[in-house]
Amino acid sequence: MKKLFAVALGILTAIGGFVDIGDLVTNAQVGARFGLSLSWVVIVGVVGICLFAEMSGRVAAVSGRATFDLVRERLGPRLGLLNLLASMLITFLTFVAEIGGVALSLQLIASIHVLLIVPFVGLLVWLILWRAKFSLMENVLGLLGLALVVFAVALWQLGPDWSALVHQAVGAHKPHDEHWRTFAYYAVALFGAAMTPYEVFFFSSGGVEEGWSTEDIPTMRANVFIGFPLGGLLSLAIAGSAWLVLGPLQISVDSLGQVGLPVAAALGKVGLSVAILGFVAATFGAACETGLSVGYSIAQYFGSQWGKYVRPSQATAFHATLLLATLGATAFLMTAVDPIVVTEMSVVFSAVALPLTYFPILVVANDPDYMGDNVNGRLANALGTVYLILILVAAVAAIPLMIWTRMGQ
Amino acid sequence: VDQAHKTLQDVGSSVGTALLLVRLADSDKVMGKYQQIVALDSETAAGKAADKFAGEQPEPGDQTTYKHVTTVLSDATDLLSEVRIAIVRRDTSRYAGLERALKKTQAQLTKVEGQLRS
Repeated sequence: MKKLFAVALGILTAIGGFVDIGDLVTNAQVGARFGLSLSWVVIVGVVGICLFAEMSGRVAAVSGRATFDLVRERLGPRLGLLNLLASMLITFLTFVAEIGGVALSLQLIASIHVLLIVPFVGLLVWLILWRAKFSLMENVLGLLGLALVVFAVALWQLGPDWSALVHQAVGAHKPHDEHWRTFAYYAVALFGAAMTPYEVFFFSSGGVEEGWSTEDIPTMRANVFIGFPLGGLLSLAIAGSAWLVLGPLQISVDSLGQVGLPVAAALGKVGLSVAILGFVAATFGAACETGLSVGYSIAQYFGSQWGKYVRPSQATAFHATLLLATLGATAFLMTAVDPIVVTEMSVVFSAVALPLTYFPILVVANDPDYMGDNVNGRLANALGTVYLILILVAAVAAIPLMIWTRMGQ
Repeated sequence: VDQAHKTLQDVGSSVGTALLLVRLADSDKVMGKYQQIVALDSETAAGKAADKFAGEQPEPGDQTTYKHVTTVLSDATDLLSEVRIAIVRRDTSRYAGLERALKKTQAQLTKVEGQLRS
């Protein structure tokens, strides 16, 4: 019974924790403009994140060490440093976007200037990173993030022509008034949002924090293979409801307030309140995860003590990094940069950094010295290789498409 | 012309957002503070786009188009300010009139955009 509860809790937090500010904004933007014609990208992205999250979770469970702890050891300091720089910069940018996302979400309730909220959010995030228990942080915010299921309810309540939606999704029909290059740009952005590097990074380090062993592999797989795809369905629900409500009015999404309007149209104030709760929980959870991931990546590369299960006095460098990262992210947002623009940049640059993040995971998960009997099988390797090619294509195309389309205009 | 096209689309999006917001506010489906933020965001986004376009230096041959587009954009941003004022004051008696005006403005923006294309 206890095991079943652990599996159910893991799945629910995986669903609730799947969507972050990048998914909220990108799926609403794409949904309003392209409907479900890019839903295949979400599906490809979710399969990819499941594949690599399972590998990194397995590495953590078998070796008792986070994936990137092994990267430097396995691939050497130079490649390890390249991997560290790429993934850490993207994770930091995502951290900035998530803190901005929390501030924007709270602004929808408080109606005060976002710059007055940002320092408060920064302080709150740091306090949680410093004091809260790992499991409490993950479970509470993950479960509250389930409030975003309200988008699926809203989609159903809006009463769409389901066959038309399915036709649009299956046929990948681009709207006539949209250009192919914009379609491709948003495909790359959605892919980057679904496969954000920090998710795998946090997942494997979290496994070490929670002391996973090989006995936990089935639970971990259930979380990944059930929780993440259901989280992906939430992304599709956000896109579908945006298409039905924002699309007909030619609304292009450039603020978080617009993302919630389809829920208000379908379910009124109660639904909108639940959506705002979901926004706060999802962005706050992701802010904690990305903040921790910055600390994890640096500490794991330099081999210093890390983790929330370690007393702060024994992991001073790790906790100092968390503090500096939070201060840096808060200061970045206080320059009055638009958090939505930071979010858009972070998902595109995520796509650029993907090969440097995921290639080492494939290498380590394939190493019998670390993995023993739990080394990658043929299917995992075949899929991993296919995904590395896809990731490489997305990484190469991301910047040129961003410039060519002026960020999707 | 490209810039005009893009600006008309951006301002059209803000007008569409305000139209949806007024409809939802009229049916009491959105909380007051949420309404204020969405109205203010729409006004700010449209203002930024219109200001950027107004700061462009038109080619001599494009002067008439430039004037026409800036007039339409200015009307739209003025209307968005009216929407924000009504929303913040909770002046529900004005919502029906604003909804009609927003529809008209959106149609006007689409029409000008179509003219630019052809």
